[in-house]
Amino acid sequence: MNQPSDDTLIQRAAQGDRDAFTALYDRHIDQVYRHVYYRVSNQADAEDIAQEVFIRAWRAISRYQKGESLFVSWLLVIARNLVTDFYRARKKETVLDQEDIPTDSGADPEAVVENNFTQSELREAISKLKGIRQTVITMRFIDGFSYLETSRILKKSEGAVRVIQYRALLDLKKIMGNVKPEDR
Amino acid sequence: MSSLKTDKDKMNKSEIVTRCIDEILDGQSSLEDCLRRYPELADELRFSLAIATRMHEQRAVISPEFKRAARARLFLEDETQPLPKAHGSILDWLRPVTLLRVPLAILVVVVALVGGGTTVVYASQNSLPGDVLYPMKIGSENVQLALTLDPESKARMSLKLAERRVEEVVAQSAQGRDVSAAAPEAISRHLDAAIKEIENLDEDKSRSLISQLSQSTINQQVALSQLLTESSDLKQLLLQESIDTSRRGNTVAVVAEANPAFLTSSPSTADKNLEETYFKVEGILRSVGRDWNIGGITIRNLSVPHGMPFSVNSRVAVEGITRHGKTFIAKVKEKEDQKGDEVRIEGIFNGTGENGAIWHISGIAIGKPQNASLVAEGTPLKLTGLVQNGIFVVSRLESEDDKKEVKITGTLVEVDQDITTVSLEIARAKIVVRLRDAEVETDSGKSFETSVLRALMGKDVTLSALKINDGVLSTEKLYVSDENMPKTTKDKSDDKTSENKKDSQKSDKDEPGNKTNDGKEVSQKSDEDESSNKTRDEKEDSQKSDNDGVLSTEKASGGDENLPNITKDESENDEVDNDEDESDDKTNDGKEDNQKSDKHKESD
Repeated sequence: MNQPSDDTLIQRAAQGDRDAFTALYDRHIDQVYRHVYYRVSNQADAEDIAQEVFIRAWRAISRYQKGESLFVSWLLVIARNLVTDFYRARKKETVLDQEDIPTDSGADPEAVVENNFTQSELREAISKLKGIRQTVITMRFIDGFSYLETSRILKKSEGAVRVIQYRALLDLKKIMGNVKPEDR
Repeated sequence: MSSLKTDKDKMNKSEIVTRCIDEILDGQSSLEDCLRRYPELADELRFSLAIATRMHEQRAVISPEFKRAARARLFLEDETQPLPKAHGSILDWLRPVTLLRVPLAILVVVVALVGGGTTVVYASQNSLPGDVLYPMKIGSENVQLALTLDPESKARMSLKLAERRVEEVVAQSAQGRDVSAAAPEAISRHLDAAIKEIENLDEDKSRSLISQLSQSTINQQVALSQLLTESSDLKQLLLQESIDTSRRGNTVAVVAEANPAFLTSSPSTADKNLEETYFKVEGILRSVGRDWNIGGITIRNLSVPHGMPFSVNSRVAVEGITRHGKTFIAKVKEKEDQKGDEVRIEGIFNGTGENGAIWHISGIAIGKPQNASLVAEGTPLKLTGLVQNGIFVVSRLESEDDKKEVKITGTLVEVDQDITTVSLEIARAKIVVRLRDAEVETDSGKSFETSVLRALMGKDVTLSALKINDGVLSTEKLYVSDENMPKTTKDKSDDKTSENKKDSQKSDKDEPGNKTNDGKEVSQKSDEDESSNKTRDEKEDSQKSDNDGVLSTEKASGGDENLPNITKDESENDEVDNDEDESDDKTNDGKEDNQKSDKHKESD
């Protein structure tokens, strides 16, 4: 049996159908949570924010209009605004990862070439990527968005998303291996 | 695979790498195949693929429990569902109630009340435990509660009922009657019911009710403590239990106001260990994350509320409570005083572990303090020293008897002109307290005239020796920590002129020379602090309101309400080669644009 589309569920939810909105929640909560988690690097904060995303979405569901953006992109806009609030509210950025982060992030270049890096090193490196590069990497490889979805959400072309992704991967290699600029 | 061969000459390096990654992750190609075709890209391909795979493995997994709980909370802020239209019959009126699956017993009471029992109900309102009509009073309260549908009203009613139980205790004492043995449990039950409903409310309503909880539990503690001195042993015990219950309610309010996540741990005023895990730690913040390291003391599995200001390597004072393996931070303050690596921990001694090598203070494990004798479990402790190689080298240990005196601590926000009344802010509730020949003392025992209070605006003060008469709360003692005392203020013993307490409560201009100057300078300084605090708070508030989730999206994009609101730094500052991105935008119809991308550093 075919699952109803997001648009069908949204229409029903806008009429007050809680089951329809719950179905939307079930469909997208994982993605929203994953997206937030990597921006705030803390389970409790990610849970708070992810929950708030849907509470706000329910509040505003009747105002959502199907347009160029996907429903999930609308949710991520809410999520990104909440994450922005989260960081603005903090006076100074001291975001470190949950796991112990080694202070020396210059990993052995040979180890990097051998791809022998720990998950915590990778997480720290991702957190050091600049704005949109981090966004693309997390959307593509952690949230699992396609190029099309990513491009629509970020209002970039698919080609631009690919270029940004590639640059982000190079940045990661540089961050993790202290690769000299001329090696790029 | 054939698509790779065909486009090989046209594709630039970025396209090759990204396409290879995609096809490998989709299972359409293999690393070996890509390496065969593009041996010159071997390093990049291997690294990029490893990164992509690792990130995929690292995907955060949402806990099923949280998912379920969050699903249950999706619609809690909704108002009461509209009731079906009544059709005139008592059964129709009951229908919405039956939808809630209210027990039949309560329905029967409702019918009885509607049927003509209202006179009896009114008569029962002033009854006390042990009176004939008291069960009717409780019964009507239960009915009211059952028929209250929305969480906010339920929370308010539960608080009211807790207050009513305290009023009954006061009334029983006034009449020379025994205090009901069920009183502490009844107070606890109503407070816990209120706390549980508050957890389900949205932020604004939650904050308002937490303030009410704070105010109410303070009044309860004071009202009950006034009865202690006149009571028999049994009565003292019951009164003290009731006071302890209310005090725990206040602790919940104070922590929950700062960190609403604390409510998810289901704190209960019946839990006698609740306050045994309230701690204060001060030291250099060495690392943060899920665990924090403060001066060598590790605080584990933290829940830190939004907006707490802190930075690594600064000196901080942190307060919080540990519960069910999690630590809920209630306060973080950055300290300006220079004390090097000195660390201080305050809390209740919970016992030792690992054959005495570990001490637990309010749920926090520290290395056994050197040169410190074991104290009894439950003893309030304050340890100051250095943590070296996991051992706490104590320079000062203070322990005190577990005092049952009612004290309240809050931020001093107002002092009236005649210095006869002060206002404290506790969990956003404003508590007004009259001064009864009050003295100001520091932790070290120095006394000051109340005129110094104006200089303490914005600082935490503690009030004790509290009384409540005709609803007016009054105090005889204010405590301030030594470090909060303004440095230019002289204590009583330094005064050249001796004045009695009544004279000290006159306005400052009556006081001679230096002291007046000092008072003015200090109060000016504190006014500046207060105004800068306000400015900062106002800024923070405006920042928050600028980003009200969906609404800000609508405002910011001005027209197309549902398009993403990309922040400035992301769209304009982050991309080094904006032109290339724009050119990709323009030319991308699924084609590769090699002409402009050749300018790109990464292109071949």
